[in-house]
Amino acid sequence: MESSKYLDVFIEESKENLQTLNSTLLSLEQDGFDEEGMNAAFRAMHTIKGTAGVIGIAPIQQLAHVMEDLFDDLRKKKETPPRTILELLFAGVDLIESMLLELETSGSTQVPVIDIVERMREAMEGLPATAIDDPVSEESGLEPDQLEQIKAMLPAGERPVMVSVTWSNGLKFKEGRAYQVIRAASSQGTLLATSPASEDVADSDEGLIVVLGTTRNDADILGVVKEVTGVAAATAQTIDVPGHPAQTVVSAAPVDPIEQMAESVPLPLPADQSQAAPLEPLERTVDRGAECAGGDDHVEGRKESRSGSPNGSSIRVKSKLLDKLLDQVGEIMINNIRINQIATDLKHRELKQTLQNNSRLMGEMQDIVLRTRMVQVDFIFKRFPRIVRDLSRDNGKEVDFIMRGTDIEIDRGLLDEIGDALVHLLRNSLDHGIEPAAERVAKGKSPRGTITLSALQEQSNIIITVEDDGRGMDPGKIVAKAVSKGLVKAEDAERLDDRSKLQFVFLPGFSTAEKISDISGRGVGMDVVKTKIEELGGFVRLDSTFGQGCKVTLKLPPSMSIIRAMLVEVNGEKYAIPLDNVRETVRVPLGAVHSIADRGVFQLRDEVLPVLNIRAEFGAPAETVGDMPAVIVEKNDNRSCLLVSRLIGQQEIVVKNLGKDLRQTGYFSGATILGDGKVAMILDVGVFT
Amino acid sequence: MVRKRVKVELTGDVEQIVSFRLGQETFATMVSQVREIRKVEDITRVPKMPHYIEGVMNLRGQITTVIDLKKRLNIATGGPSRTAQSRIIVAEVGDNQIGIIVDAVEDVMRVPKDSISPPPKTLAGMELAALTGISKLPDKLIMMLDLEKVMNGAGTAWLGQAGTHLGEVAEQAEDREVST
Repeated sequence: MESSKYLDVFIEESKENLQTLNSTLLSLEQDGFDEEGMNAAFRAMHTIKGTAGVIGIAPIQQLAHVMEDLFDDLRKKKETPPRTILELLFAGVDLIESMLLELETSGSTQVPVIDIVERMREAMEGLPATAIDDPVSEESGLEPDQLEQIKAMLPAGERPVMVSVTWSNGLKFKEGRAYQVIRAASSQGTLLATSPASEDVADSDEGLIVVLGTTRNDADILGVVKEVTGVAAATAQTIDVPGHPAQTVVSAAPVDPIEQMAESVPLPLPADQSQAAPLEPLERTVDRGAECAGGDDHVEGRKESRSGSPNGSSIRVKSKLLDKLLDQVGEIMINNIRINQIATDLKHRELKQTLQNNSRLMGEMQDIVLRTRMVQVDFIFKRFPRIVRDLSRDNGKEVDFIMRGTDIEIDRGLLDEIGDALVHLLRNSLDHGIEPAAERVAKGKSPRGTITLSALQEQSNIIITVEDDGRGMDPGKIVAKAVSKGLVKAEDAERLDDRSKLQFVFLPGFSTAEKISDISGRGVGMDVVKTKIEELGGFVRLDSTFGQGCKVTLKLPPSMSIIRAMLVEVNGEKYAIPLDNVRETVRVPLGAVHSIADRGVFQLRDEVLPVLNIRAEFGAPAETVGDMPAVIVEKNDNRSCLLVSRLIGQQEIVVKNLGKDLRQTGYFSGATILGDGKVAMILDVGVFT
Repeated sequence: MVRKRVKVELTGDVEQIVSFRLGQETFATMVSQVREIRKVEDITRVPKMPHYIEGVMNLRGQITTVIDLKKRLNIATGGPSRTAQSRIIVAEVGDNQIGIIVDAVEDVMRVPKDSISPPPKTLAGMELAALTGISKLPDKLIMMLDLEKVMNGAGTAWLGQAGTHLGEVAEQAEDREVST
């Protein structure tokens, strides 16, 4: 098999599986044992192991193997594992993650795993033995639906028999022996399942279990099975289906790893029950169909797919392809507007009607393409609990982390972009916001801090907030710092109100952390967050009450690529202003523009706004008579009044990126293509406010 | 426009080039850097830009910056800045796609590598990085430009004098040819 082809798929898939593992481990740590979650974790581990084996990444396979055993052990014990084991598992997950990272960048991984594998083995031996010693007497991991499956597969008139084989001591090449046993058993009836799956048989296994549907008696079956070399003992027992699940141990879904790989490449997935479980994370990635109301969490999703509901089909698509598709659709729409104009000029009625139909279809198409790019914010949020846990542990702070609105949908491209910013904000809250427990108690707060990450939709915008109940920001301290760093003059700063003082944290090179911590306070500050969010067409707001906490609000456009904009004409040239930045439009009599210290100002109701004549700014002689249309723009709570030649109207525009050289001026955040095929620049009102 | 095609005996290695005119002189760039050639139309001016940036155009959905190569190279012609022959050469420069306005596109042709000599040393005092060589054909001289270097700003130092020096450059190249 050409393995490199599958490496990307493996990495992507494994990352998702690691997410599942992380969240399971977290809930295990916090809420205790959860069978559903443990099974999911076991399956995720199993998938990683299998796939790593297929494409030949030995270290991951090794580590995953022992972790899988550990998970298997734990899920059968049905109790919360001791702290030491949890830590080991966390470490294992991290190690696999770093190996994946290495694979991604260099194509191979050399991380040594022997050490941790040994430690896990030891830990496992420390656990009261269960499955490893005696597979027959073991508690069942079999679930009712698996029993159902056996029942369904059972040919009429046959009884299900579980044959347990114990290997002789020190037997080598058990995989081959297992194959012989399975073949021998098959001659006596219909093979239903084996445990472990035939290709997973390892030399460390103690035995093998085969489930048959048969009409023969036990002695006949045992007779042929015992003939196989290496079989020390064999027992047979009839399974009571569906009566006592506790009697059986079956891996009812021996999923071939190769098959799994094949399923991961973009192909429609069958809603096959046996495969639904390992593939479950995929559905969360791109599944549009199963976007049921609420979409609570992955547990719900899994239940659905296992019960074989029809909405479980989804495919995995490269996001680059979706980007291209969106580009193409945008192009077609622009072309369509052009054709419409031509049809209008031609006064051809039939053509016009057909085109109208076309336009409607294209609108729908655009809608669909945009929707395919949407994912739930959970896609990124789900990795945060782990980050917060680790950080709070490192800091020795106790924190409750609450996530809200994880089902809010957002453009995938946008989500990828804001991930780092969110991590940074969370780290800020933990490092600088939340106080140590003793300090909190002294302040009369609960010893545990709370950090809330929430997403919500406000009209067409997505609002994401990171809020903590920590010590908040001290405006005085911030100003002192800004002054000492030469970011502002002391006398200027004094005149500001508290909220304005806080805004200094957004300036490059500002950091209030007294102690440089491992994570934040490394020079990557709020200015980076702000720059990033504004680059995406959103904005950042900071609110803080000193002593009470801090709240950072990110307001994001619903999609990176399509926004509503106001089109204006300046000196015969068309410009677009994002509607988010437009507060209102007015006509400004030039006589009402007063000048204060070289700047024009205009009084609108009870507010005095700076006036900027873009016409003059962009190279035309300033008007001196009459009145001019103006757009009141605002950004970051600053407003100003832009004089333009003409207001054209509102429309949806497709935002295109500009080359670096064009962005440098700061006047334009992007460009768009108008109906006539010409380019219009999008004004970044930030420079005017 | 009437193109005068001159038959050149092609022996040995050849270089495929696109030749174009800026003012009176003929320049050329490697075919591999050129993506397509378009008429000059529908360019949106972008305010607050260096004078040689003509604006942006929509090239199949991609916003493409268009520069005026004559302004970039400071070649003064005195003639009208746009004629019916003016064209945009869409070039691949680094990862970017860029439109370059030239007075006319003359030819896509193969020239023998032997005919390309390095830029004359007499100009060595100037930054010549963008001028990669001079191809001497029976009826004319062609200045070979590396568009990537032009865009990166390399070679801009000599450009101020380029208009006046080009004749000299050509003569010197001729001399070299004679002397070898």
